[in-house]
Amino acid sequence: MNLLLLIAGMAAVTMALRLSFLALSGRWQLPLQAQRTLYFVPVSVLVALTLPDLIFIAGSYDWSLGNGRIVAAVAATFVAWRFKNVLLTLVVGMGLLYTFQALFG
Amino acid sequence: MHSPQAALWAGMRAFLPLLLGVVPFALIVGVLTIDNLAFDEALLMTLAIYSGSAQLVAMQLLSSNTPALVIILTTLVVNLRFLMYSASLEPYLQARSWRAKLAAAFLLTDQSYAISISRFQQQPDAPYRYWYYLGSGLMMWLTWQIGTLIGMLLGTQLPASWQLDFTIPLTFIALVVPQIRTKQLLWVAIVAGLVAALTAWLPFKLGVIVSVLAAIAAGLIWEARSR
Repeated sequence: MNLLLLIAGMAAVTMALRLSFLALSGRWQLPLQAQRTLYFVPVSVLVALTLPDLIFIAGSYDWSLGNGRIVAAVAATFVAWRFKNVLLTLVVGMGLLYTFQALFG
Repeated sequence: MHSPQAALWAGMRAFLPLLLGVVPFALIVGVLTIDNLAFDEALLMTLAIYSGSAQLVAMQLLSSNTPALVIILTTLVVNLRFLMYSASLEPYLQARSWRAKLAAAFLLTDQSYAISISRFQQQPDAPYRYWYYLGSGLMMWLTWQIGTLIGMLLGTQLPASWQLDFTIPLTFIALVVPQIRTKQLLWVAIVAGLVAALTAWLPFKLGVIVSVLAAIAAGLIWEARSR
């Protein structure tokens, strides 16, 4: 039941955002300041979602060099920047994580 | 393009090069969804929400027992970009009926937006723009639903030792890095990352929202200074 409410809530919020200005048919435009603010949202959200997964594992910080996730993520960042390819980024990141654990885990 | 059908096909064809990026993303979302939910729940989620990043975030948060209200709030933040897309597409689509508006809204994704807006900006007067958009959107929808379904069917057979949860941050990295095209956005990304690292211990992943607010403030400060 709780899960159905969660799905309904997520679906409603997402659909409302998608429909917003399409529904208004040009009768109201987003103020310039709001547009500037929204411009920063996609990059900041994705970065903010990523970092904790790399350094905060099972309830505590792991900054050590023994943390293969940091190494793999740094390499994946380089691959994503250089090749702009989702699949390649995943393959390199997962490959390095497995390699790192086989060597030091 | 001389007919709605031709425009629809053109939109579908224009989407094809994006398949390579969408398919792995859809597979992973399917695998991780079935990791956390039963098959019918997983299917309902991907059909009703139809938003990869929101679904990934929900899985990330569900596995750390985050309350539903916080997950919905995070969905709002993650999908705020749809406001921008909606505002920027509206003048080109000019959907009149409610049915047309609802269909256009439901099919709005990063990919269908990117394909359509670049076309419309090059040829603002091209006829049947709505149909072109619908073509790219339908193609994305089909790819996404088939991809996540395959992921769900595969997912139950994958062992935990594969650490597939690590594909979540990797996917986010693959999505965000190409978006950082200016020094200003790099600065915004650095602030978001630093604050997220320092606030990772906060309960319910509230650090995400704190980091986004801090990064937006940092971006606005940069803008004010460079003026």
